[in-house]
Amino acid sequence: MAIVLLLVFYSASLPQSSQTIQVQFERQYSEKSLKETVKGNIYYQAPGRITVVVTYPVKQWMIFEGKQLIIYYPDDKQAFQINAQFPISLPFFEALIGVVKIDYGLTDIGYVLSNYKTRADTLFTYWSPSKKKTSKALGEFTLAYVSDKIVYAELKKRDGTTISKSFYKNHIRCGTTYFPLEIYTIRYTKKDSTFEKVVYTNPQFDKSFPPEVTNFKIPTNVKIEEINW
Amino acid sequence: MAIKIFVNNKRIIALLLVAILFATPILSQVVVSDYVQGRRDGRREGAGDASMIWAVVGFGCGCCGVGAAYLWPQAVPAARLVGKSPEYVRGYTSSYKNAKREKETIYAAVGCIVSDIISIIYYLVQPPTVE
Repeated sequence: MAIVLLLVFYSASLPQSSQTIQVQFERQYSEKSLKETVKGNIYYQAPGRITVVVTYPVKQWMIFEGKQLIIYYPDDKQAFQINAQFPISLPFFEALIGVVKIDYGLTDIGYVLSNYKTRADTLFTYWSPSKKKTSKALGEFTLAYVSDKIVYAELKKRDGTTISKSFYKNHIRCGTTYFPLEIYTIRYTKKDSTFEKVVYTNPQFDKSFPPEVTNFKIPTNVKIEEINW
Repeated sequence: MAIKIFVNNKRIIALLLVAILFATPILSQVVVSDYVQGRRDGRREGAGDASMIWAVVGFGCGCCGVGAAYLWPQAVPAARLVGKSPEYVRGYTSSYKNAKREKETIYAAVGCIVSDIISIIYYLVQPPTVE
């Protein structure tokens, strides 16, 4: 009963989702001695078209649309088209737009709310994978909120070991949704762990994109290399 | 006329040829190393991303599990291609999928073999039925 009430409470505060989001990003990724920094802009068009324009370290365009990913290099005049069997996602950006959905999109991928508890000003919600829909490898998902702002997420395997932990900071309000502009993620692999810091700046909601993004097409003189995944 | 230009500038032309001769392997090395690095990373990360759940599938489903592990479609690790050069992307995509598939098929095969061994032992140790 308490869980039902909790869901009703959260459904009442369901945020209005933005149709378009454009934001600058800087992603720092480190693994062992490897450290990488990538900068650029991301343009998101609901329901699922993402255009990533990388400005550093290379000029690169990436267009995610369903099961297709196009990668274009304007300076090198090269392009790739990756055709996959599953929709292709960009996890570090999904973490930002995931907050648009009150359950972080967990219900859509087969998770069900199994428990919750409050500790001081923090609400912890625990989500279990349903047997039919989710991958056999995935286990419990924990989400923590402070004043409707998502501050922490943790994904575990079925055996209880942690796959990843994310910390969300520097929230900005858009309508009833709080978007985190800084996301820190630690991923635990078999041998080592990786650290990722993504900082978003200058977010703009429901504004029209620049014409080069809206009307993007690979020039006809560029040969597209097709990769069937 | 052309011969005259060549004779007058033969020193410059010779220097130019030497420069090209030295630069060619260096330039090709840059391209190759990016491609090779992509292949190396793809192989390593593909093997690292392989799920051990396929061992359970192989154990439960036998040869069908091994076949499924080989044929099961893979997710594209798109985040790892952000900000990478075209040569790196070419190398990474050419090795990641195969490395992951190879590892998962091995896991499934190991599960299948373990299941078979258990079955054989079971049939060997169970007492003969008297009719």
